Amino acid sequence: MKRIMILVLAITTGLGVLAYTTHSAPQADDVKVISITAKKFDFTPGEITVKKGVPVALELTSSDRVHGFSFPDFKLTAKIEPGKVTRVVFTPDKTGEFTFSCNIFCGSGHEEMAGRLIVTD
Amino acid sequence: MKKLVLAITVLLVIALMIGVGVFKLGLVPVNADVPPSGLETRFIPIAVHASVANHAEEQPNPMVPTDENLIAGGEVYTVMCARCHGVPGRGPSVLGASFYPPAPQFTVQPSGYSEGELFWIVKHGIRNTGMPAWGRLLSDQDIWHVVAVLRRLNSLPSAVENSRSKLH
Ligand code: HEC
Ligand SMILES: [Cu+2]
Repeated sequence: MKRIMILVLAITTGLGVLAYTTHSAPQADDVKVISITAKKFDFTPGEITVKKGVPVALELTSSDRVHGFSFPDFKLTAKIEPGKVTRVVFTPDKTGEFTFSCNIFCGSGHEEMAGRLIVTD
Repeated sequence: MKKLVLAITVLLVIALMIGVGVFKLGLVPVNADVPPSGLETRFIPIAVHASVANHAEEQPNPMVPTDENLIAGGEVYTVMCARCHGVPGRGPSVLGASFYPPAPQFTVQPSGYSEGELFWIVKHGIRNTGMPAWGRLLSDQDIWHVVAVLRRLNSLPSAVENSRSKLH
Protein backbone atom coordinates (compact mmCIF):
# COMPACT_ATOMS: atom_id res chain seq x y z
CA MET A 1 0.00 0.00 0.00
CA LYS A 2 2.79 2.41 1.00
CA ARG A 3 4.67 1.57 -2.21
CA ILE A 4 1.62 2.38 -4.31
CA MET A 5 1.19 5.69 -2.48
CA ILE A 6 4.84 6.61 -3.13
CA LEU A 7 4.47 5.59 -6.78
CA VAL A 8 1.35 7.71 -7.21
CA LEU A 9 3.08 10.63 -5.49
CA ALA A 10 6.14 10.26 -7.70
CA ILE A 11 4.05 10.09 -10.85
CA THR A 12 1.94 13.12 -9.98
CA THR A 13 5.07 15.08 -9.00
CA GLY A 14 6.69 14.04 -12.27
CA LEU A 15 3.62 15.05 -14.25
CA GLY A 16 3.47 18.33 -12.38
CA VAL A 17 7.10 19.15 -13.13
CA LEU A 18 6.58 18.13 -16.74
CA ALA A 19 3.46 20.27 -17.03
CA TYR A 20 5.24 23.21 -15.44
CA THR A 21 8.28 23.03 -17.69
CA THR A 22 6.38 22.42 -20.91
CA HIS A 23 4.10 25.26 -19.93
CA SER A 24 6.83 27.78 -19.16
CA ALA A 25 9.51 26.70 -21.64
CA PRO A 26 7.73 27.92 -24.78
CA GLN A 27 6.98 31.19 -23.02
CA ALA A 28 10.68 31.79 -22.54
CA ASP A 29 11.63 31.40 -26.18
CA ASP A 30 8.24 32.32 -27.62
CA VAL A 31 9.12 35.99 -27.40
CA LYS A 32 12.41 37.04 -28.90
CA VAL A 33 13.92 39.73 -26.71
CA ILE A 34 16.29 42.15 -28.44
CA SER A 35 18.09 45.00 -26.71
CA ILE A 36 18.76 48.09 -28.78
CA THR A 37 20.85 51.04 -27.66
CA ALA A 38 20.28 54.43 -29.25
CA LYS A 39 22.88 57.15 -29.37
CA LYS A 40 23.66 60.09 -31.65
CA PHE A 41 23.23 59.07 -34.51
CA ASP A 42 22.63 55.35 -34.70
CA PHE A 43 20.99 52.30 -33.21
CA THR A 44 23.09 49.34 -32.00
CA PRO A 45 22.54 46.76 -33.38
CA GLY A 46 21.57 48.53 -36.58
CA GLU A 47 20.29 45.41 -38.24
CA ILE A 48 18.11 42.75 -36.69
CA THR A 49 16.82 39.53 -38.21
CA VAL A 50 13.67 37.92 -36.83
CA LYS A 51 11.18 35.28 -37.85
CA LYS A 52 7.71 35.99 -39.14
CA GLY A 53 5.02 35.11 -36.62
CA VAL A 54 7.39 35.01 -33.63
CA PRO A 55 6.66 37.80 -31.14
CA VAL A 56 9.51 40.26 -30.67
CA ALA A 57 10.18 42.39 -27.62
CA LEU A 58 12.47 45.32 -28.31
CA GLU A 59 14.12 46.73 -25.21
CA LEU A 60 15.11 50.25 -26.12
CA THR A 61 17.50 52.39 -24.19
CA SER A 62 19.71 55.42 -24.86
CA SER A 63 23.30 56.08 -23.91
CA ASP A 64 23.22 59.85 -24.41
CA ARG A 65 19.94 61.76 -24.76
CA VAL A 66 16.29 61.32 -25.62
CA HIS A 67 15.68 59.69 -28.99
CA GLY A 68 12.59 58.47 -30.76
CA PHE A 69 11.62 55.15 -32.26
CA SER A 70 9.36 55.29 -35.28
CA PHE A 71 8.39 52.12 -37.11
CA PRO A 72 5.41 52.86 -39.37
CA ASP A 73 5.49 49.46 -41.11
CA PHE A 74 4.33 47.96 -37.80
CA LYS A 75 2.56 51.08 -36.52
CA LEU A 76 4.94 51.55 -33.59
CA THR A 77 6.35 54.66 -31.96
CA ALA A 78 8.15 55.06 -28.67
CA LYS A 79 10.29 57.47 -26.73
CA ILE A 80 13.77 56.25 -25.78
CA GLU A 81 15.21 57.78 -22.64
CA PRO A 82 18.65 57.40 -21.03
CA GLY A 83 18.64 55.24 -17.91
CA LYS A 84 15.31 53.69 -18.82
CA VAL A 85 14.24 50.65 -20.79
CA THR A 86 11.28 51.10 -23.09
CA ARG A 87 9.74 47.79 -24.10
CA VAL A 88 8.00 47.50 -27.45
CA VAL A 89 6.30 44.19 -28.19
CA PHE A 90 4.91 43.16 -31.54
CA THR A 91 4.62 40.19 -33.90
CA PRO A 92 6.02 40.64 -37.40
CA ASP A 93 3.22 39.49 -39.71
CA LYS A 94 5.00 40.02 -43.03
CA THR A 95 8.42 39.21 -44.45
CA GLY A 96 10.82 41.73 -45.93
CA GLU A 97 13.17 44.52 -44.88
CA PHE A 98 11.79 47.38 -42.87
CA THR A 99 13.40 50.60 -41.66
CA PHE A 100 12.87 52.17 -38.25
CA SER A 101 14.17 55.64 -37.45
CA CYS A 102 14.64 58.20 -34.74
CA ASN A 103 11.75 60.65 -34.79
CA ILE A 104 12.81 63.00 -32.03
CA PHE A 105 15.20 65.60 -33.36
CA CYS A 106 18.61 64.97 -31.77
CA GLY A 107 20.99 67.20 -33.72
CA SER A 108 22.89 67.43 -36.94
CA GLY A 109 22.97 63.84 -38.17
CA HIS A 110 19.50 62.97 -36.91
CA GLU A 111 18.25 62.22 -40.43
CA GLU A 112 20.68 59.33 -40.77
CA MET A 113 19.65 57.75 -37.49
CA ALA A 114 17.91 54.58 -38.60
CA GLY A 115 18.07 50.80 -38.40
CA ARG A 116 16.74 47.79 -40.24
CA LEU A 117 14.56 44.86 -39.28
CA ILE A 118 14.71 41.85 -41.56
CA VAL A 119 11.80 39.44 -41.26
CA THR A 120 12.32 35.97 -42.72
CA ASP A 121 9.97 33.02 -43.10
CA MET B 1 -28.93 60.91 -82.07
CA LYS B 2 -27.19 57.57 -82.55
CA LYS B 3 -24.76 59.22 -84.98
CA LEU B 4 -23.91 61.93 -82.45
CA VAL B 5 -23.11 59.38 -79.73
CA LEU B 6 -20.95 57.47 -82.17
CA ALA B 7 -19.10 60.63 -83.25
CA ILE B 8 -18.44 61.65 -79.62
CA THR B 9 -17.22 58.16 -78.77
CA VAL B 10 -14.85 58.13 -81.74
CA LEU B 11 -13.52 61.57 -80.81
CA LEU B 12 -12.93 60.52 -77.19
CA VAL B 13 -11.09 57.38 -78.28
CA ILE B 14 -8.89 59.42 -80.63
CA ALA B 15 -8.15 61.95 -77.87
CA LEU B 16 -7.25 59.13 -75.48
CA MET B 17 -4.95 57.55 -78.07
CA ILE B 18 -3.20 60.87 -78.68
CA GLY B 19 -2.81 61.28 -74.91
CA VAL B 20 -1.34 57.81 -74.45
CA GLY B 21 0.87 58.39 -77.51
CA VAL B 22 2.26 61.63 -76.09
CA PHE B 23 3.06 59.85 -72.81
CA LYS B 24 4.50 56.72 -74.40
CA LEU B 25 6.58 58.55 -77.01
CA GLY B 26 8.27 60.54 -74.24
CA LEU B 27 6.94 63.90 -75.37
CA VAL B 28 6.10 65.05 -71.82
CA PRO B 29 9.04 67.12 -70.53
CA VAL B 30 10.42 66.02 -67.15
CA ASN B 31 13.46 68.28 -66.76
CA ALA B 32 13.33 70.50 -63.67
CA ASP B 33 15.70 73.26 -64.77
CA VAL B 34 13.10 75.57 -66.27
CA PRO B 35 10.54 77.69 -64.40
CA PRO B 36 7.10 76.01 -64.14
CA SER B 37 4.70 77.14 -66.87
CA GLY B 38 2.06 79.82 -66.21
CA LEU B 39 -0.64 77.17 -66.27
CA GLU B 40 1.12 75.12 -63.58
CA THR B 41 1.91 78.07 -61.32
CA ARG B 42 -1.70 79.21 -61.60
CA PHE B 43 -3.64 75.98 -61.09
CA ILE B 44 -1.53 73.54 -59.07
CA PRO B 45 -1.19 75.85 -56.02
CA ILE B 46 -4.99 76.15 -55.97
CA ALA B 47 -5.29 72.37 -55.67
CA VAL B 48 -2.51 72.22 -53.04
CA HIS B 49 -4.04 75.01 -50.95
CA ALA B 50 -7.51 73.48 -51.12
CA SER B 51 -6.20 70.04 -50.18
CA VAL B 52 -4.18 71.37 -47.26
CA ALA B 53 -7.15 73.40 -46.02
CA ASN B 54 -9.33 70.30 -46.32
CA HIS B 55 -6.97 67.91 -44.52
CA ALA B 56 -5.30 70.11 -41.93
CA GLU B 57 -6.93 70.56 -38.57
CA GLU B 58 -7.43 74.21 -37.70
CA GLN B 59 -5.66 74.40 -34.38
CA PRO B 60 -3.38 76.88 -32.65
CA ASN B 61 0.24 75.99 -31.97
CA PRO B 62 0.35 74.23 -28.58
CA MET B 63 3.96 75.40 -28.12
CA VAL B 64 4.26 78.74 -26.39
CA PRO B 65 6.97 80.70 -28.26
CA THR B 66 9.37 80.82 -25.31
CA ASP B 67 13.10 81.16 -26.06
CA GLU B 68 13.51 77.50 -25.14
CA ASN B 69 10.89 76.30 -27.64
CA LEU B 70 12.17 78.63 -30.35
CA ILE B 71 15.74 77.45 -29.80
CA ALA B 72 14.54 73.87 -30.27
CA GLY B 73 12.66 74.86 -33.43
CA GLY B 74 15.59 76.92 -34.70
CA GLU B 75 17.87 73.89 -34.48
CA VAL B 76 15.39 71.74 -36.38
CA TYR B 77 15.03 74.44 -39.03
CA THR B 78 18.77 74.89 -39.43
CA VAL B 79 19.57 71.20 -39.69
CA MET B 80 16.55 69.94 -41.62
CA CYS B 81 15.00 72.79 -43.62
CA ALA B 82 17.42 75.67 -44.20
CA ARG B 83 19.27 74.02 -47.06
CA CYS B 84 16.09 74.21 -49.18
CA HIS B 85 14.15 77.07 -47.60
CA GLY B 86 16.99 79.50 -46.89
CA VAL B 87 19.23 80.51 -44.00
CA PRO B 88 18.19 83.69 -42.17
CA GLY B 89 20.63 86.48 -42.96
CA ARG B 90 21.90 84.81 -46.12
CA GLY B 91 20.68 84.95 -49.71
CA PRO B 92 18.05 82.56 -51.05
CA SER B 93 18.99 78.89 -51.36
CA VAL B 94 20.17 77.87 -54.82
CA LEU B 95 19.32 74.26 -54.02
CA GLY B 96 15.80 75.36 -53.09
CA ALA B 97 15.48 77.31 -56.35
CA SER B 98 16.48 74.19 -58.31
CA PHE B 99 13.32 72.25 -57.47
CA TYR B 100 10.29 72.13 -59.77
CA PRO B 101 8.32 73.82 -58.29
CA PRO B 102 10.98 75.76 -56.36
CA ALA B 103 11.06 75.66 -52.55
CA PRO B 104 9.57 78.88 -51.12
CA GLN B 105 12.19 81.03 -49.39
CA PHE B 106 10.74 81.68 -45.93
CA THR B 107 13.51 84.17 -45.18
CA VAL B 108 12.33 86.28 -48.13
CA GLN B 109 8.59 85.69 -47.83
CA PRO B 110 6.92 83.94 -44.89
CA SER B 111 4.28 81.36 -45.78
CA GLY B 112 0.64 82.42 -45.89
CA TYR B 113 -0.58 79.17 -44.30
CA SER B 114 -1.94 79.05 -40.74
CA GLU B 115 0.10 77.22 -38.11
CA GLY B 116 -2.31 74.26 -38.16
CA GLU B 117 -1.84 74.02 -41.92
CA LEU B 118 1.93 74.39 -41.67
CA PHE B 119 1.94 71.52 -39.16
CA TRP B 120 0.05 69.32 -41.60
CA ILE B 121 2.34 70.18 -44.54
CA VAL B 122 5.52 69.50 -42.58
CA LYS B 123 4.21 66.21 -41.22
CA HIS B 124 2.77 64.88 -44.49
CA GLY B 125 4.79 66.63 -47.22
CA ILE B 126 3.58 67.67 -50.66
CA ARG B 127 3.33 65.08 -53.39
CA ASN B 128 5.38 65.32 -56.57
CA THR B 129 7.48 68.17 -55.21
CA GLY B 130 10.75 68.30 -53.30
CA MET B 131 8.91 68.78 -50.02
CA PRO B 132 9.32 65.59 -47.97
CA ALA B 133 6.93 64.22 -45.36
CA TRP B 134 8.77 64.69 -42.06
CA GLY B 135 6.49 62.50 -39.95
CA ARG B 136 9.05 59.68 -39.71
CA LEU B 137 11.89 61.99 -38.75
CA LEU B 138 10.24 64.52 -36.46
CA SER B 139 7.90 64.10 -33.52
CA ASP B 140 4.74 66.21 -33.40
CA GLN B 141 6.45 68.32 -30.77
CA ASP B 142 9.47 68.92 -33.05
CA ILE B 143 7.12 69.93 -35.85
CA TRP B 144 5.23 72.42 -33.69
CA HIS B 145 8.58 73.87 -32.60
CA VAL B 146 9.72 74.39 -36.18
CA VAL B 147 6.33 75.78 -37.20
CA ALA B 148 6.66 78.42 -34.49
CA VAL B 149 10.03 79.34 -36.00
CA LEU B 150 8.75 79.47 -39.61
CA ARG B 151 6.49 82.27 -38.48
CA ARG B 152 9.33 84.33 -37.03
CA LEU B 153 12.40 83.50 -39.10
CA ASN B 154 13.38 87.13 -39.53
CA SER B 155 12.51 88.25 -36.03
CA LEU B 156 13.93 85.52 -33.79
CA PRO B 157 15.04 86.64 -30.31
CA SER B 158 18.83 87.04 -30.19
CA ALA B 159 19.28 84.04 -27.86
CA VAL B 160 17.58 81.86 -30.46
CA GLU B 161 19.53 83.38 -33.33
CA ASN B 162 22.81 82.77 -31.50
CA SER B 163 22.14 79.09 -30.85
CA ARG B 164 20.88 78.65 -34.40
CA SER B 165 23.83 80.29 -36.13
CA LYS B 166 26.27 78.23 -34.06
CA LEU B 167 25.03 75.17 -35.94
CA HIS B 168 25.98 76.57 -39.31
C1 HEC C 1 14.82 68.90 -50.12
C2 HEC C 1 14.30 70.25 -50.06
C3 HEC C 1 13.35 70.58 -48.92
C4 HEC C 1 13.57 70.42 -47.59
C5 HEC C 1 14.80 69.81 -46.90
C6 HEC C 1 12.41 70.96 -46.94
N1 HEC C 1 11.51 71.43 -47.86
FE1 HEC C 1 9.77 72.38 -47.49
N2 HEC C 1 9.38 72.55 -49.47
C7 HEC C 1 10.24 72.13 -50.46
C8 HEC C 1 9.65 72.43 -51.76
C9 HEC C 1 10.25 72.15 -53.12
C10 HEC C 1 8.40 73.06 -51.49
C11 HEC C 1 7.38 73.58 -52.52
C12 HEC C 1 6.23 72.64 -52.71
C13 HEC C 1 5.13 73.25 -53.56
O1 HEC C 1 5.38 74.24 -54.26
O2 HEC C 1 3.99 72.75 -53.50
C14 HEC C 1 8.28 73.11 -50.05
C15 HEC C 1 7.18 73.62 -49.38
C16 HEC C 1 7.11 73.77 -48.01
C17 HEC C 1 6.00 74.39 -47.31
C18 HEC C 1 4.77 75.01 -47.96
C19 HEC C 1 4.93 76.51 -47.88
C20 HEC C 1 4.02 77.33 -48.73
O3 HEC C 1 3.72 78.47 -48.30
O4 HEC C 1 3.64 76.89 -49.83
C21 HEC C 1 6.32 74.36 -45.98
C22 HEC C 1 5.50 74.91 -44.82
C23 HEC C 1 7.60 73.73 -45.85
N3 HEC C 1 8.05 73.38 -47.10
C24 HEC C 1 8.25 73.54 -44.63
C25 HEC C 1 9.44 72.83 -44.49
C26 HEC C 1 10.06 72.55 -43.22
C27 HEC C 1 9.56 73.00 -41.86
C28 HEC C 1 11.17 71.82 -43.48
C29 HEC C 1 12.15 71.24 -42.48
C30 HEC C 1 11.61 70.34 -41.50
C31 HEC C 1 11.25 71.66 -44.93
N4 HEC C 1 10.18 72.29 -45.50
C32 HEC C 1 12.27 71.01 -45.58
C33 HEC C 1 11.47 71.56 -50.30
C34 HEC C 1 12.05 71.22 -49.09
CU1 LIG D 1 18.01 60.51 -32.37
